[in-house]
Amino acid sequence: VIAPLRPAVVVLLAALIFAAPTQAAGLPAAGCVYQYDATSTVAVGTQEPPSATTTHVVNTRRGAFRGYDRSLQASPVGMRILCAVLAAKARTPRPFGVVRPDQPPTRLRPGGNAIGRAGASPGIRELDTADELDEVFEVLRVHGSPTTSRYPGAGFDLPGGGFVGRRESKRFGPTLDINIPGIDDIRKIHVRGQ
Amino acid sequence: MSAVSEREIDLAILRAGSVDYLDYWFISRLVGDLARSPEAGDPGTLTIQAVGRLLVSGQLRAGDLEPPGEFVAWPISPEAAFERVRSRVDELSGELRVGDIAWFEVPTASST
Repeated sequence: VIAPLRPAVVVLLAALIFAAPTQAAGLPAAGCVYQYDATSTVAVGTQEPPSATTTHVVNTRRGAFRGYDRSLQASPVGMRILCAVLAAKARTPRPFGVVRPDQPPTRLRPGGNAIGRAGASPGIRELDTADELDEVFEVLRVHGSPTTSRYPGAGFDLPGGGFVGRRESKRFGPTLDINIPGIDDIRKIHVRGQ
Repeated sequence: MSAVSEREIDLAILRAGSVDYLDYWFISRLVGDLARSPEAGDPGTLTIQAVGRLLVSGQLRAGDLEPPGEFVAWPISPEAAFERVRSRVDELSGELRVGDIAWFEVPTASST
């Protein structure tokens, strides 16, 4: 029996196995995001443009953002296998988000519906917990880079011109600000009851 | 759809402001949603007009949002705050982004 491997070890092994920069035309650029435990998230996805073969593997620690990023070369086939390896070791039975750089993040529309519940105003959604909000933030920011704008929190500019930011509010609790082209009905996410 | 009324716009902003601090970007998008029809008027103009109305009437306060999440109202009159907002909007080059121009608070009894 193999003791549960730490996510970093799994990712490293998978990277070594599948680090073959081959072209596999016809396969969509996509990725996966898995939660390993209470604090670790591993995301795999291609960078823009979708035809690029660089796969980003991101292991983030929720809240403190003490995670590390690793880039590796993998074919779309290798990336899919890597996702399968992650799935076998992950805490979640299936990806809680799918990263598709060529489309709006599907994490905001699980099952095709806007995430969470409707908030007090159009464009505002509510989630049950701060953990869930943080997990959504981690998924959305995977391909982002720290924003150059003046934002009172952790803001990330996304490929394609979008933005996602997480900020604290003493009066209203943690909040995500979202400005993603094509997603006009989700501009803020709050935690219900805060 | 007919033109949206000032009251509708003001109420939408105040409703959103009851659950969060608002930045100018969010307000402009909110107004844009309400003013989708050609008869509604220019969303940019409607936005600055609504912000002006609400600031001067004391239903909205302008300021900065400072980490870790505290709203700091500008220590100036509502009229001066509106002029500052309008000036920043006029000077804005490029696309309006989250956090640009100013943050706004709907005052509560304890915050006034």
